Formats: sequence, structure tokens, C-alpha cells
Amino acid sequence: MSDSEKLKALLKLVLDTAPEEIDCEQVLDVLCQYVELRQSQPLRAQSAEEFQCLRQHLSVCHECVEELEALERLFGAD
Amino acid sequence: MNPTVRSNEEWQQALSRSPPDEAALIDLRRTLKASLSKALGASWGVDEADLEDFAQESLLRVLDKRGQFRGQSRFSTWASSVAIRVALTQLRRRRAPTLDWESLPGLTPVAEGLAPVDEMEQRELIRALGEAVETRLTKTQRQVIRALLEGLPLVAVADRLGKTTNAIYKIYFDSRKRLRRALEESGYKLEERHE
Repeated sequence: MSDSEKLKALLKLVLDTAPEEIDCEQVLDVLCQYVELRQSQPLRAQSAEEFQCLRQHLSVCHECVEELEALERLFGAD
Repeated sequence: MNPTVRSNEEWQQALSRSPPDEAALIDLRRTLKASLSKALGASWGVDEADLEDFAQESLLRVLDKRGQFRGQSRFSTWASSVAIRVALTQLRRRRAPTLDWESLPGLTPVAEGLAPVDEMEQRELIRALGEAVETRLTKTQRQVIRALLEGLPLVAVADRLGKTTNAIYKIYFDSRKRLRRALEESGYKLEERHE
């Protein structure tokens, strides 16, 4: 990746930054709830709002995205 | 007992005994190994020996963190998510690229890499961002940002700087906030993506 591409990637991360964010440790609990709810039913608007902090974290942390994908594979494989 | 039919309370009771219930420990280890196999197997290319190692380490981590389980999901889901994090942390550490920390590359925005369709304002934003990285961040913040942009996982950055991954995430967060503020102070109106 060139410097400009890295800066473009960083710009997206900076634009996605929220005044307050949950960290990777806090994400763990929310991730389980999110995956179980999504597995059982489409998220209602209210639930989607409740998971806003999770979505925001996922937009700036690709490692938690990898963990979400792994959890989804676990449920999808059942 | 089939691990899938234990309630959260039954898991907690069995594991909180001293020593923990042997059958529950066997069930939990089996559950963690099966979960890791399904969740990581093909995508991450883990073998049987990896699965055994990760399941054992995960079992200890779950027992250690059991008090943090808040009951907002099934215990088996929570334990599996802990196991996935344990395994991916090891895999990321193993696959982390080697970086020369003393000469991490700077970020020089040049026309190369930018598509002609990129708007003028974005080019300016990127130029200002490159400048802010050099002038507004502390040395540690700059190292963390550059290392992450070079593809280093949080855990490898944490190992190198002798900090926890959560501490590195905090530095990453503070750096992004500082860069955002620098751009706003330079007169850029940034959209509020997260209310």
C-alpha cells in the first residue's frame, strides 16, 4: 500500500471516530448478544440502535470484525 | 450431560465448585474445541495440534474470566467468543509482519496512489492528515498509528511496547480523536458519522 493509500485508510478511520467508543474488551459481551439475536431474528430498529456502539467499534477495528465473522461461521455451521 | 442443554446457571454452578465439576470441565473443553474448529478451521488454516493448544488455553481463560460473564447471552456462546479471541490473538501474533521500529516509514501524501477522480478536497484532507500525523501526535501515538497501518495486529504492537492490547486501543482511539480535532481546527467540516 502506498503512503497515500495508507492515509486514505487512516482518513476513513478518523472520520469514523466517535467522541466515546467501547473497547475490544467491552465488545466481547455485546458481540455474543448481537450474534445470538441476529441468528434468531432480523434486528428490530430498536435493537439496531442498541448495537450502535458495536457497529461504531467494528467500523474502526478490523480485528473485532474478524472475531464477529468467526462467531457467525460458528453459528452458520450449526 | 450434553453441553448444549446446560443452562447458564448450571454452567456457573458446576464451574464455581472447588474443584470445578470434572464432567463440566470435559464438556466445556470439548465445546471450545468444536467451536474453534467450526469458527476458524478452513479460514485460518489451523491444524489439530493448534486446536488442542487453543482449546486448553481457552479453557483456562474462560475459568479465569467466568466472573465477568453477565448472562446476556448463552454461556456457551460467551465461552466460544473468549476462545475465538484467544486463538486469533495467538494466530495474529504468529503471523505478524516484522517491522523495523526505529525506522518506521513516514507518511508522505503524493499524487501516486490517488485516483484522478479523487476530489480536490479529499486530496487536501489527506495532505492535512499526513501533516497532522507528523505534527500533532506524540511519538508513541505516531508509532502505534504507523504500525497499525503497516498491518501489525494490536497484540504485536502491545508486545513491542510492553503494554496491554486495551492500552494500545486507547492510544489508537486518542490518536484518531486528536487527528480529527486537528482537521477540524484547520477548517475542515467533517461529517458526524456517529451521534
